[in-house]
Amino acid sequence: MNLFRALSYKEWMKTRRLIGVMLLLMAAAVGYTYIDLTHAIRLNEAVNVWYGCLFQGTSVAPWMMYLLLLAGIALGVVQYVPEMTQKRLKLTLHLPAGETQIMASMLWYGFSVILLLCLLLSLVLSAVVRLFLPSEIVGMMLQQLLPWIVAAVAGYGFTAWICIEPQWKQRMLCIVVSVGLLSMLFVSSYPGAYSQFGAGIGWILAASFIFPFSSCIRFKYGVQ
Amino acid sequence: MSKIIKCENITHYYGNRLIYENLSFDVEQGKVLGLLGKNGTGKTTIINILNGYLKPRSGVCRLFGEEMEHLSPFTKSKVGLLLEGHVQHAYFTVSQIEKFYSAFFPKWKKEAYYELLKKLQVLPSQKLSTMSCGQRSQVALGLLFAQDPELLILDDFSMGLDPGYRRLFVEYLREYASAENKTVFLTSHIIQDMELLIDDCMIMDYGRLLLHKPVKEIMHHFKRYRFTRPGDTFKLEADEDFWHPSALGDKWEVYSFLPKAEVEQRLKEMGVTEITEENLSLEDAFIGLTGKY
Amino acid sequence: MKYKSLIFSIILMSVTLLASWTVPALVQKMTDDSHSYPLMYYSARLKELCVIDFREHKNSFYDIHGNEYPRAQYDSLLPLLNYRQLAMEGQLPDSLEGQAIDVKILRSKQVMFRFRPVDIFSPQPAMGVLLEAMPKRGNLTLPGDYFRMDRELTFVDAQSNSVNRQKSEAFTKELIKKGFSFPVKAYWGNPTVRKPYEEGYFCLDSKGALFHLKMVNGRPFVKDTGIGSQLDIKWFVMSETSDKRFYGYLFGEKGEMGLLESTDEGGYRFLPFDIRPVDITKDEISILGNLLYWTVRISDAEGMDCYGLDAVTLQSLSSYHQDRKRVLWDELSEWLFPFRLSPSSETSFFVNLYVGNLSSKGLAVSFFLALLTFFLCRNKVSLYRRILMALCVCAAGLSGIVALLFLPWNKYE
Repeated sequence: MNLFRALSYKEWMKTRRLIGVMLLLMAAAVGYTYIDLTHAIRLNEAVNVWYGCLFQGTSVAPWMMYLLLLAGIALGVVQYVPEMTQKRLKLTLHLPAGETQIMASMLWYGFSVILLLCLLLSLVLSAVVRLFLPSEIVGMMLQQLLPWIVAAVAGYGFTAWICIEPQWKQRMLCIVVSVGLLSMLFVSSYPGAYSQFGAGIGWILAASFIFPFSSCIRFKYGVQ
Repeated sequence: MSKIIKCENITHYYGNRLIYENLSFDVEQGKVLGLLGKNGTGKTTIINILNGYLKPRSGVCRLFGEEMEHLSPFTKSKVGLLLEGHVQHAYFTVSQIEKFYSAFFPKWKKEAYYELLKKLQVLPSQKLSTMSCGQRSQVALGLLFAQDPELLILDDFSMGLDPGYRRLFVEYLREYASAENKTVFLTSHIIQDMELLIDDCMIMDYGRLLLHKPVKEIMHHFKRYRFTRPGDTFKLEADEDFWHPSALGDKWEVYSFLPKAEVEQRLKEMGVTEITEENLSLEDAFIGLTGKY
Repeated sequence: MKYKSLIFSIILMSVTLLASWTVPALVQKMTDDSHSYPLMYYSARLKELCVIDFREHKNSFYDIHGNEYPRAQYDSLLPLLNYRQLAMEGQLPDSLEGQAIDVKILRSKQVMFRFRPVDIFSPQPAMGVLLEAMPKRGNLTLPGDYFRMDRELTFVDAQSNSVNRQKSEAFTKELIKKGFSFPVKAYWGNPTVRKPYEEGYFCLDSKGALFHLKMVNGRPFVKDTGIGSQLDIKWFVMSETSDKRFYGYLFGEKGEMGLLESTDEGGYRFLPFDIRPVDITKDEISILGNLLYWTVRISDAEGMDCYGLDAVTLQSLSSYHQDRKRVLWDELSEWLFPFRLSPSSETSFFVNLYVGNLSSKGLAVSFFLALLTFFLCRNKVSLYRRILMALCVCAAGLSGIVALLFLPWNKYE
């Protein structure tokens, strides 16, 4: 825990600006949803807005698909690109602690941040949407968000994997694999389509946590 | 005296290019060892291997008796590392980076860090990324002093420093090493600085270790001899005693560890009548040992 | 760093799984062909099922006994399929089998129905909407509220986003009064205003009884259909067709399929189709019906069964079976891949890890590939990795080989 706290200070210094920007963007996104929803209700009447959501799969917050994934990738980039420029990761791994623990702490920090941001956003968005729409549609929205949140978290992990990988050729292959795994989360955007994908979500999340360690091992080996 | 660093039979290649074969050396406690070599002889590679950031094809290095690949946190806390170019986490300010590292070392000496920086007119709120290379080198050095490690590993500490900062760095380092019986392993491509600093000297050549001797021994015994060639057909080949003989017109020079009398004796047999002996700076000695090209 | 080998194995397995999705999917894209079956229709003239495939045979079609008919006779031999064309040409007969026909009658008796397993395996609407069954003006309109049905029936008003207590209580009370036992197992309706009339919802109660629920003049109309006692109901598809003969298609747990008909006395009747048992988790069903005959087609991964039924009794008059056409992809996939993984499925809307195309031939080939991998890589990687790699190739065949290309190969690691 102590190690996690100490390392989180460094990660926080790297990411605090981005986290601020993401919070602002998310606030803007929630604000936009509010305006968009009230506008739609004024123009089309609530009953028709509900109809679209319930029976036609109209999404309350479709842009979240990209926003969340981008947030995950951006966090990964901001956290690990400075580690890789001038191979600063050597300094980090040289800290008096186990390398596995150091790496795990850095990853946990990122996973926690992105997860907290997603949960916060889901919570605030749900509260706003609930003002105008029934709990069922809020539930559908959350179900729709689920694969996108998983993509954000996994996208972060895969970005770490790609960034830390020391060899360009292998980095390209990592990108291909990451895109492949992430694309499983974008096969369908219909609310509830991922309600049976528990095993797959577990697999992708586990992969996104474990894969960065392989890059770290290769970095330690001095692969070039 | 205990051996702080012990490397055995290190062989490494980059692709098919041999860097060294069966390289073995060790560093005793309290010594300041300088690793010299021309560009591309694998100085940084050794530093990387020592710290476990490069796995050689074969061989093993031990720091405080532990294999480099699996250094325990305790051992890592006893090793201070300075990366090439004084790289540090540049997104911190001077005070933040001190705060960050202090959490990892129970015996952290905060005063040592601030004392050094006070002399340099660096503000605690200054961000590392906005600093000059010289200022950053002092921050890096300050952090090392605060960590108070038993072994310092410095990769090309003179890189990017102007003579003033270089001298400053060397002086602080020498003071620190001699006062506290610390072991230092360092590389530099500016050899002048090393003369003031190092006890032992390791000189790398392409693919091998050329020499590992105390600096004093080199300075005392390694000399340059100049002479005029006795005839047009005169030719001096390098051997284990004569290092890098070269000629400019009819003026010859050769380097050797042999005493003057012995050199005179050997050259007389070839018809050379008069030789002059010259004392060398470490830099000259380095060139004598490695050749100009 | 700890767990090196474990991490490598996890990456290798993950990439192999990923390749088991993407590689077969790409090969399929390159080699797949249409599996579609010909159009089947029971001809009122020939009194036989006809096989119509103008893509394959440009100028003729056949009956199921192989008798060939020229394309020129397509309209006249299948008058109930092509009545519009015949009417346009002024060729539509006045009567068929003693029944007077015209375009209006034929149109009202026309039935088109299509069912796919995806209809079941997809997220069902979270709420329902009960339209006024007897609107004051002719057309159907949305009532302004939606209902949720679980332990009671609750109407939520959209404009105020609040529960309409009065209406909810009235409907829940009426349901309970008529013997409905909450919680509801399932409810099926047709939530759209683009239909000729409203028949509300059919709701399956916790005891398996099927109730008819609609809103008439703002008040609840609830009736137990009594079908629940005759049939273990699995699924229902509401279909408000223009002749009001039936409410929709009922499916039983044991493969029964039939119509939920309205009787003249205002009651309900289950009229089964005289066809093979239907597995709605796998079978695709399509029905083309007219005044006199219904053509029912059921297809699954193996083949297609087609029936010509009497429109009134739904008794089979003729039937036909056709195996699924094998294309290059079927042949190739059998040899190349011992299995394939897919996040999507033809029979489900849900994303999942679907394992399919299991093949023993593919396993034999991949065993050979695995041996080859094992020996070809003997100087490149450590024995442990070599064994792992061979296992992956053995399990995934060609996909496994592709997966290996994505991993770092360095024996010094």
